[in-house]
Amino acid sequence: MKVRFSSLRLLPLGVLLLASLAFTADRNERVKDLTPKFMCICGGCNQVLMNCNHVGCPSREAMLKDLGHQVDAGMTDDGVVEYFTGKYGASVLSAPPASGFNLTAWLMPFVALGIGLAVAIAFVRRYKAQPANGPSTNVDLTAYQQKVEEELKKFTPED
Amino acid sequence: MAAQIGQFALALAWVVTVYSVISSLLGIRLKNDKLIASGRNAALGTCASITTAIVCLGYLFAVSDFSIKYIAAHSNRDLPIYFKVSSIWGGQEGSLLFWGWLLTIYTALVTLQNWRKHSAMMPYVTAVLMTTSLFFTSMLLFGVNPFNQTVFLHAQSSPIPFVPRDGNGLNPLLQDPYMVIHPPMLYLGFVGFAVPFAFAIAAMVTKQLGDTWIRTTRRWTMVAWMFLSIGIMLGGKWAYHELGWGGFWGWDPVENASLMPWLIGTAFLHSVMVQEKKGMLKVWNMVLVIMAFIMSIFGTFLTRSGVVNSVHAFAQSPIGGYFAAFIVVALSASLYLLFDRLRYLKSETQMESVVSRESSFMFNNLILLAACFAVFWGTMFPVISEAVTGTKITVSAPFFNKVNVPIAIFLMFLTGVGPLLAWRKASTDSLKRNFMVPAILALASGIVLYFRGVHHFYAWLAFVMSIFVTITIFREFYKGAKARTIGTGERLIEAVVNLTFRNTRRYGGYIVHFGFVLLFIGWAGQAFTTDSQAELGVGDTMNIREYTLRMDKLGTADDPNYSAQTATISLFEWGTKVANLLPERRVYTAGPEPQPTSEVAIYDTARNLYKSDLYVVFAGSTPDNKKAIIQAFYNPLTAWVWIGGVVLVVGTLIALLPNKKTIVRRRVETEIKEEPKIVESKV
Repeated sequence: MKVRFSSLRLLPLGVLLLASLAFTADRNERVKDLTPKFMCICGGCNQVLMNCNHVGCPSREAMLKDLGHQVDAGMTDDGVVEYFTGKYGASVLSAPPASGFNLTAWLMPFVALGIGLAVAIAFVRRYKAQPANGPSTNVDLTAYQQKVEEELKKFTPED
Repeated sequence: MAAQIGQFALALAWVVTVYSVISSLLGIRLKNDKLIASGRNAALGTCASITTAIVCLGYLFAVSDFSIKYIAAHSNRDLPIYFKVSSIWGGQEGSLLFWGWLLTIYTALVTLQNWRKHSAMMPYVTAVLMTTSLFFTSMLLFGVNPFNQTVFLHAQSSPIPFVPRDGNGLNPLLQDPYMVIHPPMLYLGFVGFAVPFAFAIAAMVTKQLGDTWIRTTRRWTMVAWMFLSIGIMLGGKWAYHELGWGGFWGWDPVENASLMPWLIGTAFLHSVMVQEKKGMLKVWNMVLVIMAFIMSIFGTFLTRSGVVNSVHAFAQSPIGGYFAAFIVVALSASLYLLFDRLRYLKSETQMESVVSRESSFMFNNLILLAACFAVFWGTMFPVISEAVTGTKITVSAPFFNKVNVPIAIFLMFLTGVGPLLAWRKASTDSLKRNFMVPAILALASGIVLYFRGVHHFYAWLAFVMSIFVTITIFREFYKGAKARTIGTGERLIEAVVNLTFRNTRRYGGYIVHFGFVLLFIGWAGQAFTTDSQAELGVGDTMNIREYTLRMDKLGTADDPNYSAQTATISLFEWGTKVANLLPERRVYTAGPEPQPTSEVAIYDTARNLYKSDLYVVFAGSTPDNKKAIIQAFYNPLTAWVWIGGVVLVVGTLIALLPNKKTIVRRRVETEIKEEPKIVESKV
């Protein structure tokens, strides 16, 4: 009975321990998820924060600690981004922010793809619209054309 | 003495190159065959001169002649001999000499191979290649001469010549076996694009825009593309082994510089088929050939000028201006010529359907070019943004991944679709017949993958596309081989081999596609990488997935070139010891400051299908030096990237071979030609 009582007394402690472990895991996951948003400012690796692990990096550990502190302080993701940008400048972000002129960084590749697509479709339509070159004739060529199509089906190489 | 010979050889190369250009052009203008032949011989002479120069530089590295500034800056006495030789391309001056040397070798090979075959075009080809060579030789002679002698001590009145006792050493990151072979392969790729460019210009100038130039150009493009592929793969392998961050592609500007001409080259190798089969896309192919060359020069410029670090570095760089000028001149001249020759580049046939092989190639080109533009835009955006807004920003892996991943997946889709479509027009029946089975099987595999835990959307899509493409490829081989077995009675495997070697281009191409699929699978595996970090003293353990790492020993090791902290780690898989891992943390002692690096230990689980790597880094030590900071990465499917690379190269080599029937036909033709002579002698 005494043993049961002791166990019960330990229960809140266990719950607290599990909760703190879950909290730590969540916190670490959040830190890990946030690291790709930032570059390591050491200038020697050109890597995102988590990937910069070259020997003697003077910045990574301090930046990770700083990031951890901001997460612990309950800051939102946007808040952390704002804090880091304010502290280290815009170049700390691993990708351009999607606002102002920097929005063009994100849009241009797809705009270019869209223009290319439009040109390609126009090209196909133009070629399809053009009549085939050749002498005009009143002779009914349907039978011959069918024959040619059949022959081509047999012999057109696949490559 | 070797330095003087090298210097003289370089100067001689410049003079001979100038002569070659003038002689070729004058010979063409005056229709003087002797002058043209002299221009060609001068091109061969340039090759000999630059070869002499590079041999001299190699010798100076081998004997550690530190009276030469370049040697003192990039080598040291204790450097192993193979790294001394590879130090030739360890810095800017040597890299450019190496570029110039490879260009003259290509020129010599092209000249010797094609002089009789394309007699009207070759003087122009020589002139274009030698003009490019002149650009590099001029830069070497007047800008960044690797034979510039003597390190100077700057005294108050005048500089005093000084020979240091030892050199600064090669950058430790470059002291890796992959660095011995990676740059030559990459450069062979970059430089190789000069050959198709020269043929394109020659074809436009001579107005010989038929099949001949395009056939020759296609083969040389394939050679350049293959070397560039090998170079990129080896670069990835080097980064994986040497940089210690657990990945193989970081979207670094220098990596991007190699990817851009590769993407354009890939586009050309597809669209050239449309020109050969249908006489279409002639202007487009010209544009691609020109762009591939320009981007290869741009890549070298990007690598060497430092333009991507700051908008101001452009003006500061000693060679940036030369490169920019060359790019502007080459691009303007070739585009002017292209516009002038537009009337000779009209399509011979028309597009009959959007659902056809030729239109799929066109869309494939569009996607490849979009990917190239996205890479270019992302690489240059920091410069553009700084120029416009005045604020420096960074464009790194997250941007490139977000933009390029959907593009790459769509490209993979087209890789599967393209070969299934017929030329001219694909009927609804044939679409059903060809697509039904691969699409159903790929979707079924997708469902299985989802329930096996693949929930990352892009990775899932990448796997499904890879399965779809693999089925289409194997089906093509099976269909062809089956037809052969019926027709010839061959066994299936024999039929596959014969089929491949009777149409090397088509089936080699399929093998290249399969290599690309494997690469894609390896790349998609990156989505499931996990990592862990711990401080381990002797006897301590850490876990990552099914693996346990136990620190057995911490020690030191000394090499003449570096000192190292070493760790001996036992690796357990599900509790059973499977390997000893030996990661190191090295400090290279040559040079003004010690340079630390880490040597990773990789356990390759190659025996299972997943081919995952356990990648262990000795990241540092605790302040009391009693514990090592160990980072471990579990990288699934990574080995498929390297296997895919090998398959891709094998496929390209097969595609470069002549078809078996062509060889037999040539042999028969030769025998027929020789026969009358035998009869005559008998008579």
